Amino acid sequence: MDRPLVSLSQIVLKVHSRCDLACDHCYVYEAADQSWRSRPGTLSDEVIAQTAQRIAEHASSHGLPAVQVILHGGEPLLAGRARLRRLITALHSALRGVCDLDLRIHTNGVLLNDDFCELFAEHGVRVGISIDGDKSANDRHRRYADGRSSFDKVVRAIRLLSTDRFRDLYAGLLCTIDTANDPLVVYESLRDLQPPRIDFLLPHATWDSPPFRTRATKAEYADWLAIIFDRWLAEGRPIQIRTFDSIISTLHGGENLTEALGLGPVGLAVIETDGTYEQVDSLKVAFDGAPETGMNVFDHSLDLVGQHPGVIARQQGIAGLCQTCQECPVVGSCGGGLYSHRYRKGSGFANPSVYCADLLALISHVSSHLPAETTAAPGRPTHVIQRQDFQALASGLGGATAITSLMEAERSLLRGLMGAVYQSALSAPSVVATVRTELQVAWSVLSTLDLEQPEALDITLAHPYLRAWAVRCLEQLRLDVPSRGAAEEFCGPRDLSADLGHLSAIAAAGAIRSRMGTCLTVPVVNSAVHLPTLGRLKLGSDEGAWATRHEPEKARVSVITNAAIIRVGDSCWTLDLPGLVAGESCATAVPGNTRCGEWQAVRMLRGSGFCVALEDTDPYRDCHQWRPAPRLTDDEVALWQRELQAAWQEIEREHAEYAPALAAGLTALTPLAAPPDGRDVSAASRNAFGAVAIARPADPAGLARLLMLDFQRVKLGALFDLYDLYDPADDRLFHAPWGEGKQQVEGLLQSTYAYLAVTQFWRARQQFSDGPAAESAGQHFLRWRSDAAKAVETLLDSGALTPLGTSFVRQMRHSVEV
Amino acid sequence: MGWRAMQTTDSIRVDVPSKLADLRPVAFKELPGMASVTLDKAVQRVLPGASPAQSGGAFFNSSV
Repeated sequence: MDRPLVSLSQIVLKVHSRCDLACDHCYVYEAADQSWRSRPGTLSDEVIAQTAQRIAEHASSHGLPAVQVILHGGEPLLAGRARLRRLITALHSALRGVCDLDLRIHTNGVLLNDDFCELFAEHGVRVGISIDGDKSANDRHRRYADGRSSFDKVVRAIRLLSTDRFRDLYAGLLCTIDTANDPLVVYESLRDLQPPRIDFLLPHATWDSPPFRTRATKAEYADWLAIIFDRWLAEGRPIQIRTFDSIISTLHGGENLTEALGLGPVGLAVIETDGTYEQVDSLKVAFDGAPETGMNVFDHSLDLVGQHPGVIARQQGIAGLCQTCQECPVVGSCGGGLYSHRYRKGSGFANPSVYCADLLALISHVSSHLPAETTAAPGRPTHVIQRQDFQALASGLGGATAITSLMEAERSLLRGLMGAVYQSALSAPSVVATVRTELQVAWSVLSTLDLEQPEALDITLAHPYLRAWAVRCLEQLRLDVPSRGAAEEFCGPRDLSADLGHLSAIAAAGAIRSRMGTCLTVPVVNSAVHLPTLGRLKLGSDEGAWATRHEPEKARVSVITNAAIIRVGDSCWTLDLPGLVAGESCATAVPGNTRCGEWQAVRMLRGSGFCVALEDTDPYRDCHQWRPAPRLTDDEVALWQRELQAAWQEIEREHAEYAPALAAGLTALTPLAAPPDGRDVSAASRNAFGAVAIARPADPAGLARLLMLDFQRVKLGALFDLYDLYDPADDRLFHAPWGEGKQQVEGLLQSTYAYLAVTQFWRARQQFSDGPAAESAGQHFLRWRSDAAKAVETLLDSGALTPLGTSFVRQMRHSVEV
Repeated sequence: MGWRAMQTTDSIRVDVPSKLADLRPVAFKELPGMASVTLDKAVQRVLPGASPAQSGGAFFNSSV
């Protein structure tokens, strides 16, 4: 065979074959396979070197982006720090430049101390710990050989991982189920240890060695887990529980998250302390020698392991299951359960799981107890746009109904993003307990507002820069992109905690708008307490400067009957609610304040046909490629008001077909700092629907042109959120006729769509002008139309557009041609 | 009864369905309890690279 069938991206590396505990439910020592007796205690340096080389050659030949190596045992910490360091170094060295290395260790925790944690922190090794619940539950099985409890040492290890210093290392807890334990006591005791994730493990068993059952019911393990599931769901899923998350994911067509459930392929190999390859080690429960492959790191590559029948058998999805499983209605979520649990002498693994009744009952329970909105996900209605509105948008225009459809979609998207931020933050190891608690309080306030004062909450959620905030959080939580600030004033510390804390600021703004009594902790960012859509309390100098402070500063925002009270340290300000909502409030300092503070309200620009927030306070308005202007003076605001009024009149007079969309969808105007060369700059961000950022141009006509130009980008960005108009995988560069160099298809489509409006702008200017002005406008029009026409043809010839995208661009072409 | 033309009218709405799930009816309280796959689809429209940490195969039955 020229090419190996299976790539193995998970390697379980047995770094020590003995254990310092004598748990009576351990599959390594207490099951049918007793191969541990003949293995060396730990990995030799030769095995380490050869193992690292085998993993690297496999990753290279398969082009794997990352390999996960799980240091396992026995008890891996028995290998000692020096050997673990040599092993980790060898793995990093072998894989450098080949692929990413995701290193984990799974331990019983009793030996875990600062020294081990320092080593793991140095090399990014994340730690999972086995614990079965509270002390009585844990002591039922997890004891030393002389019967002593291991509980206190394990909890001490978990608390060490929970410290801010090592929190990033804390991967999760593994709990083996014993139905004799109270499920809620087990759940609560594990939950209170604040793990990012819990795995509940069914005790390993086969049809020949069935699980212990205490009751006559057929599915007592499902009953036990269902009690936990109900509590977990009622608590808003505060942590990841992989068993439940996997079932929920697969019920909605997603991937399975564990080898114990679902149909996804398992690309896993085990390497023992003597360098022999084995299949997954839970097979030890089946029969003596069950995991064997007959191969080792010295004589065989991992590619050959990937061709082993036992490995290939776990790649076949539903086709690899017995007839009973194939016909089962929950097979997509169950997948026949853990491979090892299917074993029976005679028929081998061609059986349902020995936990079949439990798995069926549990999956059915999860399916039937999820909220209706959740279970409806596969068939959940999607947003639609009426065809006539879609065509109007494609022509470069689109009226109020089209814009309203886009705004509704953006509302939907923001809710999804906020849910994802909250979900991701609660399960992220880097998020400390205090921040999680603050997030939970904020989410509770938002949930109440959503239920009781949805209109007030909608005003807050319509703020353009909330999405920019959510995206910034998700970039950090899911992509490890560090937080950033582009503006000069954004010089204070901006970390994930401060970004996540903005959720409390959003909740506080909503509570103020609806006059709902609450108290929230919000971050102080850039020396200000920000309340999105309302403004900010800008704080004066502080004796404890940022540079000397270890933690980002926080404020308490209390909403009472008729006022909001903001407290920062020992200083306090009150703001009356009606004035705050109307943008007219002043902050009244409480006598004795040690700091000065000024309330800087969001100011509105109003005129006949428009009402736009002049956004010069929001900390997330730095999402445009240009630097935002600092807070404007009252005189500057008055100038903006006059210029916008004049620009708006021009739009209504000369570009009337663009006015309805702008009136409906332009909600914020963000002043940009004037560029040194004096040229016009403006921007719109896909992550800030409704906002256009502009450095104030020389005259109202310029402002009208820039508003029209960048609102096109706002519209098209929202359409990109709704529709696949191009192939995102197509990274070819195409010529852009307006001197912006070459662009990928998304950028070219954005520019072309934006310049449709510029073309129309000059066409109208020509019509509404006389003499040299008309002549000049006519020349501009011809040039812009020619360039737009060329770009349209480039797009249509690119082969990068979807059928819908082709239809869209053809409509654009029609607008250019008329 | 004589033959009549099919009663199509110009008031019939023709919609262009999108890829974006309508999450407006989902209460905030329920959002975190939604299937990851639903939220992830929303995230994917905005941040294509931000797929959940776990993907690409079933994971070893451990807490790591």
